Amino acid sequence: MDKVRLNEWTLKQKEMESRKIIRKAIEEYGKDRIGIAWSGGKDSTTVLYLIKQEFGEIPIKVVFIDTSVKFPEIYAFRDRLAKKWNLDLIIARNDEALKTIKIANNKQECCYLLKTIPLRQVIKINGWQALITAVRWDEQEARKSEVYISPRENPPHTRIHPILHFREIDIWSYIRKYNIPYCELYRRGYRSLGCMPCTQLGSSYTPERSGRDQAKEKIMQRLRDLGYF
Amino acid sequence: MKKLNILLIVLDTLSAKHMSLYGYHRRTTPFLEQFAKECVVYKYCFAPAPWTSPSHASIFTGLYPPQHICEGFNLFLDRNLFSLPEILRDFGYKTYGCSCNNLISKFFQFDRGFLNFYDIFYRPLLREYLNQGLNKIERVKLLLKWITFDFKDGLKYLFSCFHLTEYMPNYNVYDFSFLGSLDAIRYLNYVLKSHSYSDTDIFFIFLNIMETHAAFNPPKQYRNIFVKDHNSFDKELDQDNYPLNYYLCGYSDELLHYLTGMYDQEVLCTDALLCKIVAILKTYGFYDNTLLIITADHGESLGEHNIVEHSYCLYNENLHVPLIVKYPSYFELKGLDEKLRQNLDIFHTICEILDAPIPYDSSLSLLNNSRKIALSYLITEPIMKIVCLLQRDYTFKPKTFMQPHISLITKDFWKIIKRRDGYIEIYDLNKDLYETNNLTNDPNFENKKKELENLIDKYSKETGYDNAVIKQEEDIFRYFD
Repeated sequence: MDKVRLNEWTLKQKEMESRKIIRKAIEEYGKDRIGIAWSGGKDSTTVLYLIKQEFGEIPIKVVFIDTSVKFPEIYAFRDRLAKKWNLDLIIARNDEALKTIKIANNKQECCYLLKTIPLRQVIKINGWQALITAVRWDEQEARKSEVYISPRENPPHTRIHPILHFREIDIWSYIRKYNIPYCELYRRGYRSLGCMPCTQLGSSYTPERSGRDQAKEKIMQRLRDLGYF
Repeated sequence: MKKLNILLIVLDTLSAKHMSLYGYHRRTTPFLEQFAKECVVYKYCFAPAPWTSPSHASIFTGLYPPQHICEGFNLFLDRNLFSLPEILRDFGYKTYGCSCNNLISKFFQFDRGFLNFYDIFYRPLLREYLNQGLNKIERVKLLLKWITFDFKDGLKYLFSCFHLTEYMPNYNVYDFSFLGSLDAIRYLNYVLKSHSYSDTDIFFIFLNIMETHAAFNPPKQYRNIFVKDHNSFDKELDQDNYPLNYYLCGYSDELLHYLTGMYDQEVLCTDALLCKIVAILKTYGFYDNTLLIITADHGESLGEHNIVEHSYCLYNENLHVPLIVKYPSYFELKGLDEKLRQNLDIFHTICEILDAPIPYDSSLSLLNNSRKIALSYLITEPIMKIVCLLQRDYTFKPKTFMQPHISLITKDFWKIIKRRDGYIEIYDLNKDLYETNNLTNDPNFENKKKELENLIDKYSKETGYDNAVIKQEEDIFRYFD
């Protein structure tokens, strides 16, 4: 993570740098050998728009990973924008796994089967050598050490991360500057939009089974102290 | 855009009805009446919920309770929501919070976005402050720092370490809220002092003060003003007995009169605390460049509609809260604002002043006049409290009004309250601000009633009230199995 880029660059500088990275990647790999992962969220929509700004259109294929349990508002937004921006849209879904899996039961397994596997297949089938994603440095701890160009295995390809230096507030500034459409759920306060079962408000503090009783007791004690019980 | 400091004070359980600034017959807010000349006083500000957690969450997120879902047993400020201190932090503010209410605390994730957050419900501020020290040496250093800041207080603590004096043993702010209020002021003093050394740093400070929250136990200098001290009444109104005994055995007229008098004395004490806070701002030279927002999360019923406390209704004793804003002089804003407002409008107002590009939905800036309706919700509180009453007396029969409610106020000040069972009340707040005359069955207002019913049904659906009630009912049964 480059603190100067993240905290001291202006929005204009950030835009220009991101567009540069995008142009270089698309020219280097060619339009048929590179794709972009789009979730319908604000970050990946920002990357789509940056491509649009740079090339006047979106000349590469766009992959939407469908776990079947995204918010209905996201599906509606995806279809609306795909039409408006004339996207060459691929919808990746692991129909096999969806027949038997208990969604969100084991989060790691669920994400692996419903997201990682179908994405790998799309990359293989389309012969992509590179994939553009909307990762940002300030999203979470794990992203801090991410770099703009990052080789991956299985299948071997290169990840391009053009908006690493955009902070959350920069994304919103950019969206407002160019009046870019975004999913209505953001107006209802949601900051991130994953799959519905794992993103529902009110579930951010769901302690693991072993901690559940302890948490409940703590809550009851707090209410008792304020004269509730 | 000029940068400015922000001080947000939420006075827990302060009802506008009991403030002389808002027309109350007892002189409970002499300081505010003077200070108001420098401010905009928002005459008609209504809370979105009649109790602490959802109302604070609404101020922090700019959303209505069914949208942020900090309600019932989900008392947590969800991490997937924007929080005001986070936004301010991203704009370069140093953010500080100090809360005397244990629901607005680190445990419930209200500390998100704060550089520094103290929840002082259980312990004096100094103990919280020293706990930052990871070892004895660091604690000694911190204590020395505190002594240079507040010599008497630090010395008392030092003496207590050698068992020479007692340093306020773990106190419960509920029993004697004044100790907590003093600590909140001490905290403010400390933060402002450190900021007075910097020309460039800007601060956002949030204070929750519990002076007007039950138990009503003002310090000596605020007793025997509106009512005479009465020991046995004090016992009947303490933490164990108020408000549950009102519903189980009722209160005499004398007790209700005493209750109101004690509450009013706490309002007077709070007024004095605000005087002190403004003086501190002036002392450190921050008076002119600070946006000072004084509001409350909700009010308190004291026998009106046969209700006490703030868990069972959406009447204006509970929803009508003060909102007083001292804008920095270059805003050129002073005077009385009589438009429809809600305290969650603070969120959008601050975003607008900062030019923050965060999308908003339910919060509308105080700097313009676009609010057409004000919504308030009571989703879980009555159910939780019924359980308390049943634990006390298993033969207790819940009263009809002890159920979820939603209310809507239009910009021409008509109000509709709808209970879960469909029962409707309609009031013309222009003539009847505290809802003594229900016009539901008045044939002259048949059209008005239809119009209001349509509106409230529309917003019930749009804001997710119906779903929230069902979900909370499921949660409650899980907790009280």
